[in-house]
Amino acid sequence: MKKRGILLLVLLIAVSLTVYAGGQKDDGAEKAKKIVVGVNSENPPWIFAQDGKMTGFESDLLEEFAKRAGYEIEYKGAPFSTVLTGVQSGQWDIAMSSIWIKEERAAVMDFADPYYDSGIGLMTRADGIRSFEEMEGKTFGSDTGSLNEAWLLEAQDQYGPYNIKSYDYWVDAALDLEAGRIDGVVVDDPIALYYIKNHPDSGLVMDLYIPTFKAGQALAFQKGSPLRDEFNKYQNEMKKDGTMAEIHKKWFGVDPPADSSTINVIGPYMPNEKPAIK
Amino acid sequence: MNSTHEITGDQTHRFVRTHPMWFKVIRRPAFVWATFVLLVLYAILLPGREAAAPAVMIVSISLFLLLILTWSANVLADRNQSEAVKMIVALLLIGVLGWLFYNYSGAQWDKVADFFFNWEKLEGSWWILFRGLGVTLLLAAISAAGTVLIGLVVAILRQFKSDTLNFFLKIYIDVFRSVPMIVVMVVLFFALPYAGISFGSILSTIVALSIGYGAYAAESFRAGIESVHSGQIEAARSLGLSRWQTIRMIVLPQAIPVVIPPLTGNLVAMLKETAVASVVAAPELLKRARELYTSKTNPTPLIAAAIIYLIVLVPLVRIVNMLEKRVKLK
Repeated sequence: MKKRGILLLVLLIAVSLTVYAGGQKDDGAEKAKKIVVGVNSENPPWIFAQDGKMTGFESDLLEEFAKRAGYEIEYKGAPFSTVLTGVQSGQWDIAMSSIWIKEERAAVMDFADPYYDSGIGLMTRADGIRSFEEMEGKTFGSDTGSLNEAWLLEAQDQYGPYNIKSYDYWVDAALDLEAGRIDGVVVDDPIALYYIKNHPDSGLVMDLYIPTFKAGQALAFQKGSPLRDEFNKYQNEMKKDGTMAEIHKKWFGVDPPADSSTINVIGPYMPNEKPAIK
Repeated sequence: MNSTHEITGDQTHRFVRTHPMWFKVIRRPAFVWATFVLLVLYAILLPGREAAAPAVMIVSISLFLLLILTWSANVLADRNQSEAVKMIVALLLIGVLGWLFYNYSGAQWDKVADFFFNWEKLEGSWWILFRGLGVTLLLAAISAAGTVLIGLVVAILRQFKSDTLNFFLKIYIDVFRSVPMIVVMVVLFFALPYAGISFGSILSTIVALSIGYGAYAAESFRAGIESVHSGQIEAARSLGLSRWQTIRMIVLPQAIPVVIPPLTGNLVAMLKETAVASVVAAPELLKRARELYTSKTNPTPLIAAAIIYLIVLVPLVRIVNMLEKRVKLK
């Protein structure tokens, strides 16, 4: 009978631990000093894990903001497609993972001002296809739920038919490309260039740019969150006092172009105002 | 080649078969050794990788494969052979098969080692994997308690033989044995907030796994409970024991040894399924391994994670088997 008692006690502890764990969620970043940020933690150079800590361009940007505004950051790593869902449903206060500002997204979440002008391209093998016309009949990859995937679907009429493979994390696509299982990966050009720079013997190149697909990258907040305006304020400060230029130089090795959103204040975005997409 | 001519005058031995002649020969040690030496010679004479035409290679290697397999089968199937010899033969066979594969499969072994077994790249990062393991174990432990609790409760409720109760319990079991756990986790984590309830990553995972695997556990417990003969229950009741006393003192002690094997299977599967929790942002072992995989662009962390799962699970399964034997003997 004693054994039964111990078993019940253990179960009781388990149940109470569960309840405790559940109660850990804090409510509203405005009140608490902690901000929960949902990221795709496998996205160099924007945000990735190194030695157990998050690092990257976006991580530097956010940490600087947190330092100035007096917040503590908690990162939650999840696949890209769920990062946006999470900020909508309130599981995290900010979504940050090289997210592009697009109208459909702006309808359900609030974007801060852009901090980078991004474009996409088709990363291929050095001995692979040389132009978009050669895409027909081959296989291409991108990450699920991203605008890269959307472009692949749209471009079927123009350059297709070809096969599309979706990946939860784009780095799997890059490795498949190296291994020869797919013929190209549609990805943001800074991400591709950073990857190629760090893997010189991967045999990959990025010279097929897609000029019609450009947008600004920004952090996404829950609709109506006052944190967005607070963040914008600090981001604008950082643009003006040269911090953003420093971060750009640190991760890309060059100064940002003179007219880029990295050092110019573009916005402000008010609720319901259409974001500026080039 | 029937041996019925060996029948003696006693009619009862008419249908006894003794081994045919050739069978006795192949089992003789002399034969086994002779054929072994021949195989060794064959192995030495096998062409190198580039040495001969592909057709010749395929034929000679296939023949060699067939011969070593039959030779090994001859030794391993011999009931009169000592286990030590059989172990040696088994190890030799594995070694030779491995050597064949290594030599002739055309794989670039140095690249494979570089890619999947690059331990230097992992140096200094093992602690990250172990942090992930901590989260995995926490999820598994609490979910295990939840699974067992739910499974037991559901199984006991079914013993009350109420059609209404059984109807709803069956729906629960069928639904959660069919729905993938990842769907349940995602719904709990992402969709519930719209209904006003917010579960964190850890809680969503624990609830999803407990409810989901609780359905499987309920079936395991039911099998155990029903393995106790109803005559015992009738006897217990007629002796004056209450329903609850019968369950506690007669049914459960006999049911538990029957329950443990399938239940262990469920719990091991559940522990492996904690890897899915990375979709709802739980920083468990697999997620950490993936992050390392990305930042070093090398799949070795994934192999390391697999090894860690093995190191944790294999002893656990062995321990549970031992416990099961002890409960049976009592």
